[in-house]
Amino acid sequence: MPRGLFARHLSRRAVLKGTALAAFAGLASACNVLPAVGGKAKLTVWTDATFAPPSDDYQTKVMQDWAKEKGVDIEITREPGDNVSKKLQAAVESKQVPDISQADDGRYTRFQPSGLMLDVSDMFADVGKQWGGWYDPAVKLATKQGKQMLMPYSIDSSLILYRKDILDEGGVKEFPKTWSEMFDTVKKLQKPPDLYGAGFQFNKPGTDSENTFSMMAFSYGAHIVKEDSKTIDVKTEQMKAFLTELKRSWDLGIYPPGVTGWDNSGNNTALQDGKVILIHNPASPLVWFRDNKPDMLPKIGVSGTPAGPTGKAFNSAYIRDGFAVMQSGDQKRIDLSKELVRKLYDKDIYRQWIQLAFPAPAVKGMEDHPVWQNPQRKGFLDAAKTGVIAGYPGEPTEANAELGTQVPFLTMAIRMVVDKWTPEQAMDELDKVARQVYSKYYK
Amino acid sequence: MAVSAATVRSHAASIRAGRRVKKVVTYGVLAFYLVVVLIPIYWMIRTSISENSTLYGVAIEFFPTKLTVAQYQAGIVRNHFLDFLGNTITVAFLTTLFTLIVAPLAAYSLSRLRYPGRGALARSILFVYLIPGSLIFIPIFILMQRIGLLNSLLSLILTYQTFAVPFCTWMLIGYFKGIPMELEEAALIDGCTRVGAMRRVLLPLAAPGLVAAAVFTFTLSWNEFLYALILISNNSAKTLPVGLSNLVRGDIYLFGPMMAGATMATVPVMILYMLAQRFVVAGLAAGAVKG
Amino acid sequence: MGVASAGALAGARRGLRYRERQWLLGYALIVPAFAFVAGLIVYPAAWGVYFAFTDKVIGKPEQWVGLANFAYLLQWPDFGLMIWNTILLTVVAVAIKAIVGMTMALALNEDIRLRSAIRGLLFLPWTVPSFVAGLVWRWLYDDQNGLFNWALLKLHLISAPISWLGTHELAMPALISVVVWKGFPFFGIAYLAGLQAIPQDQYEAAQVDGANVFQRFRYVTIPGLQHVMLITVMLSTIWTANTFDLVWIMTGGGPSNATQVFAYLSYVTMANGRIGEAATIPLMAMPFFAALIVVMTRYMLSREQEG
Repeated sequence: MPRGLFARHLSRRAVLKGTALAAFAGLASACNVLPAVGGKAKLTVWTDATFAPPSDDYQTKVMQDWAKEKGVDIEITREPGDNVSKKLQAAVESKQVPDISQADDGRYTRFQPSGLMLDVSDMFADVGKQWGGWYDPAVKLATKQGKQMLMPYSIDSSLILYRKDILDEGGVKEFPKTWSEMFDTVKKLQKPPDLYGAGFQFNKPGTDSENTFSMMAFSYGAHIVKEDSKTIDVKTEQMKAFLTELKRSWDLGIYPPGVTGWDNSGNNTALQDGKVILIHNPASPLVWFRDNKPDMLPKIGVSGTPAGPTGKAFNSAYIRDGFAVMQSGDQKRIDLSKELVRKLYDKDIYRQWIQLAFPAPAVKGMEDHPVWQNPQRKGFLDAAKTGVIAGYPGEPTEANAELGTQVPFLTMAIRMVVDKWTPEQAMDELDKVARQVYSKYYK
Repeated sequence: MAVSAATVRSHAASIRAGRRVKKVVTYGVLAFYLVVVLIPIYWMIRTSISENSTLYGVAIEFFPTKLTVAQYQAGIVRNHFLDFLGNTITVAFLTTLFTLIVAPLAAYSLSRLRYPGRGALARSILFVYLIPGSLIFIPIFILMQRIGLLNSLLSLILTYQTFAVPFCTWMLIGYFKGIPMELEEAALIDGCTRVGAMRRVLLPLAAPGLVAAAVFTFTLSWNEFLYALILISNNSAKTLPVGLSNLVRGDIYLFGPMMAGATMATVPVMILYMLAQRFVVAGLAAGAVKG
Repeated sequence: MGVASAGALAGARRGLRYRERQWLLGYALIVPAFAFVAGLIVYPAAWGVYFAFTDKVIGKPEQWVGLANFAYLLQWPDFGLMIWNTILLTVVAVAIKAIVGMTMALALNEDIRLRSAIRGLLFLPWTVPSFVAGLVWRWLYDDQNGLFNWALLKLHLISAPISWLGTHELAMPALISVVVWKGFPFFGIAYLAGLQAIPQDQYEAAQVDGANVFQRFRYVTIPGLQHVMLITVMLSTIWTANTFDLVWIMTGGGPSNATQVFAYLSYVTMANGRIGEAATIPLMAMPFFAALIVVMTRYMLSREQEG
């Protein structure tokens, strides 16, 4: 084997090796490769990136200013909700948690049993006193075994967002009161394939519809559990009536053909593109219109969720933003964290945040805020006062939270329209699944 | 005689016709693949240079009318894409480097040497692939926390070895096996050691395979999302795929800056691959002398 | 005549026993890779396997439940559909990826214009982060403002938009198209690298012997590429069967369960914090993949010599 043949390779490799080593040295010294050692304790905050970035930026700035004033290092990680939830899973399981974590009530129910969310009952009482009390849903959702381990910050809801201009053109003066009237109205006004009646997802990733269909079911007197939060009560005449009406709406042809494949952005884009008359959603499309198509914003009406045949209407209410002070094992950091969370409830800071973000506050003392003069936002405040919370008509239990991850109402709807099951079959399946889940918690 | 000449001529003509057919087929196939590949890529780039107001609506603009660099500005200034890109490059580069040190040795051992337990070792490296990352990100987090590497790029570089080393090792086994052993045998007879024969004979011949394995390892670590999300919480060490996911805001997707970031994440890797290919071709040309 | 005899010569000359030297060297070379991987994966793997037999939920202590998680999964009404979907997605996608990859590699191995640029462009899908690829394709397939429906409507081929991702019959093909788009460069590039390593003189020799294009492919290309083909198919099979990110973004397993696959169900269950059940799912699929690995690697590991 003549060696000379490979001389060029060798030299090429030598050059490569040299470059690689140099690059390695350079990159490794770029400090992020190795973990930071020593230094003063840092407060870490995990928060959610919301559909209203200006409110996020404002909150971040408030936290940073506070930290600067206090001489504290602070690391604020702002990620979409899905990301924060995943990070929290790993953190909670290893007990290496951030000092402060943002949590909606679903996350709270899931992570609170770990014992890593600290009791903030004193602060809860204190803030309640400052702001003239908390709204009912906030108290109910934040209280577990008589204590609060979460500071509620906002209450959000899904409402009907509709094209006022199209209803006006069609001579519809007032938004329909009941689900049936609403379905029939949009059936008359729609012009498929350019404009469809309603944009509700019939697909599991479109969890907005779980909210929609559960509110509709409640308005028909249907529910999964009784008031005791334990007894499964799925197979009722009311449930059947709700499912039958939902199926009728499907057969009316008021939904765009793609709804069986939509995710949570599907209904937003449909309204934003002018392809549907109405959707049932939190305020995110309003934010989008404000930033991207301001001329369309005044044409969007906001209405409470329709009523059932008995005239009873339900809006959901959930804690969208809340703060949990978490167990770091360092009392000094815990005290600082509480101080920072308390800071966010300062009069001006809280009011300014509500101005920029779109949900309602968790406290009562802000009803004089000028934002509620905007009829588009007023509905969200009303929902916060009277909305129903997870677990209705019972309490927000862990069993309910676990079943909720399987989107039970939405699954029944999908079974009927995609798999062509009858309402009875769909109810039967939910009954079985609900019993299976609840049997883990109530033996 | 005349008959035979005619046969030769028709044979030559058929070869020429065959070449022409082959050429048409070759270009046709490539053109088809290019169109399919480039439609989504075009859509990505088009979105990254379009104004927000034109991205949705009744009229789809295949060719954007209002061009802007605002999406890139938003990505770089507001969302720190350049920092994330730097971290991504560091992680992908170092992961590939580590992998390229250990994997060729293992591949040589598994493809050229015989010893008890070889098959079990080879397969056990591969069984790692049957444990999905979506399941074990929690114990990986716990592990990294125990050894104090959370929030460092080193935690990613180490974790990525779990998929990069098995991948690279087995790709290289494939390439090594395709290279005849006679050349190495000759080197051994000439007095080379085994390691010497691997270094001087096998690795240069397997250069295209090495480069391909390196490029794949690089891109696998470049695009990794889940571990990067879980193990890194400080903004200064975030990688680009995680940064891009931050542009999903609830039920609103900020497509403009997201596609700007995706373009920034994609184009460098393509250029890297083209450079690596040039290196391979040069290497082959040099190697061809011995043919 | 293999390495063994050549090595034996060298060993004999140095007066050392050949076999032990080879063993030692073999182990020494594999130790770094093995230690790296095993050191990082043993604990997580044991963690996952253990929890599959418990009712573990995030943040709470677990209880041993034996095979209850397996029993629960097996009685799930769409379990059979899920297995079928997983097999369909894997087999069809890998087959198309392999064919497209092979033709791409053969075409790019020819002497053509702009070869370098085309190679780079065809590599692009592999470099796009999965979730971006998923979102772009979702957008293209969208029923309201998707490019495909827009173009078909413009050309008057359809009168109403098609719900690509929302119908039973179309969702799986649409998903497969994206999986193929994202993954075929892996085959193409890997094959191309293999082709480049096949000495040109083998082709010339075959041509002199009068072999036509197909014979040259059969008797020169395939033998030179067979190991690379095996390994790419095996790796891609495992990856494709474990695809969850594209499923998550494109369809979320829908409509109904039309695109529900093992990996995505495990992912969703895990995202909901139910570690026990989430760990059970990959464990159930494991014997199948283990068998696949054993069968496919046997050939690669046992053949001492190439024909």
